[in-house]
Amino acid sequence: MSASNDLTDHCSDPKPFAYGGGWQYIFTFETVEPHIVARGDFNHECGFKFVDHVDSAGLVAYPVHKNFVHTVVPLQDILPHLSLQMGCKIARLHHIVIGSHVAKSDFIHYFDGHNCVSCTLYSSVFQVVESKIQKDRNRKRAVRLNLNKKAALADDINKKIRKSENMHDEKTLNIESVNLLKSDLNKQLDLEPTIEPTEFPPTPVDNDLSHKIISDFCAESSPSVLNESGCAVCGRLYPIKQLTRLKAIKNMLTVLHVSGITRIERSKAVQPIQELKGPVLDYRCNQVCDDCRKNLRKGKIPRHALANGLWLGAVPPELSCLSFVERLLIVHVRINSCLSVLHHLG
Amino acid sequence: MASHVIAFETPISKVYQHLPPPMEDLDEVLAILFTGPCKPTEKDFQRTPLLVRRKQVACALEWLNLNHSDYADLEKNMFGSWNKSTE
Repeated sequence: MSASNDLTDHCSDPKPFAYGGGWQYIFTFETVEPHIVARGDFNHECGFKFVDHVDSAGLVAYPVHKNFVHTVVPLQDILPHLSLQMGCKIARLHHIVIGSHVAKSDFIHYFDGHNCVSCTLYSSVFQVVESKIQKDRNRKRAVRLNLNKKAALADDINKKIRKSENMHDEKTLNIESVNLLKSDLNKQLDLEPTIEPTEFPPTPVDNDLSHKIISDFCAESSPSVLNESGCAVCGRLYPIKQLTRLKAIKNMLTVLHVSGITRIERSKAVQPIQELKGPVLDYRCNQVCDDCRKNLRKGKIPRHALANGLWLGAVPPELSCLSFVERLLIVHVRINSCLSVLHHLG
Repeated sequence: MASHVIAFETPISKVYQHLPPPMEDLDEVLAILFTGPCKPTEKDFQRTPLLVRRKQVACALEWLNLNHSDYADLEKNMFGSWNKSTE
């Protein structure tokens, strides 16, 4: 039986289990071929990438003409090369009970001697991909083609140089034109790989492209992207995407208990000067920016935090209603002198 | 009337303890230029955007005196030397 042969093959493999990360395992043609149920057009050099384990209804999603292959490969053959997540999914489909914390090496043994109704109903889907040999070959071919192109171009220009040498008798002219052509050759050789053939004039925009452009624009300019809100810790405006709820880190706000920063608003001189209780925050905001949150999680006071001596409190209407000249009158120092021009408009 | 303001940097010469500052000091830092076909009348002066509302300035200074530590020892002048509302 080929299944048992394959299993021993895998066991002799130097790296029998994939431990997560890295590229997905590419199954060889020899492993998959004996069990193929439905196949498209491919040769024996192809590799196979595992896609899904589905019943007959699910197979509809993986049509053969789109390079999918339907197989009934024994589970013991493919499981060592699948992710644990996919393995769990398959185990569920086959009603095999497996605990949530099972090592991948033990995982395979749950399937030993397994046989159920699902085994006949479900089949594995693979996708045909280039094997390593094919990839290498294609790459080499591309390199060779490129070299040929360059050689042809160089030949062409060398011919031109020779021609011009024959035509002109004067040496000075020759040298100039030859140099020109040589620099031309170098330029073309350098530019060759970067030039891509483009259609000109471009075809008019079709519906699909215009739909993509419009929907991309809408996505980029939607309110959820552009809206801004304040950060309670530093008081700066940020796009809503960069903000998270303040409540989520309320236990880490203890570093923001700084005295001598805040002050409760007084309306009469007889009232005592008091500080606000609790951490130094802008209490009109309930979100925190990523920058501040990162620092708070480390237990540091963020550089731009209000608790870092930057607290001002809300601006009262007494100050916000003042005009430009009135503001000039209430400052201790003047760093500007102003020239104001009044235009008479009829 | 429309107004246009240009501001120049000047070295800090003085820190005021009396606010608002006397009118003569303001002459140094604020110049107003009228442009137009005719001389501005009294009515025009009443409509310039550069008028000072004494009451608002007094309220603002009062609030700052109460709530701002830098204004705690402020000596209020309260327009003692001011006799006109425009500057």
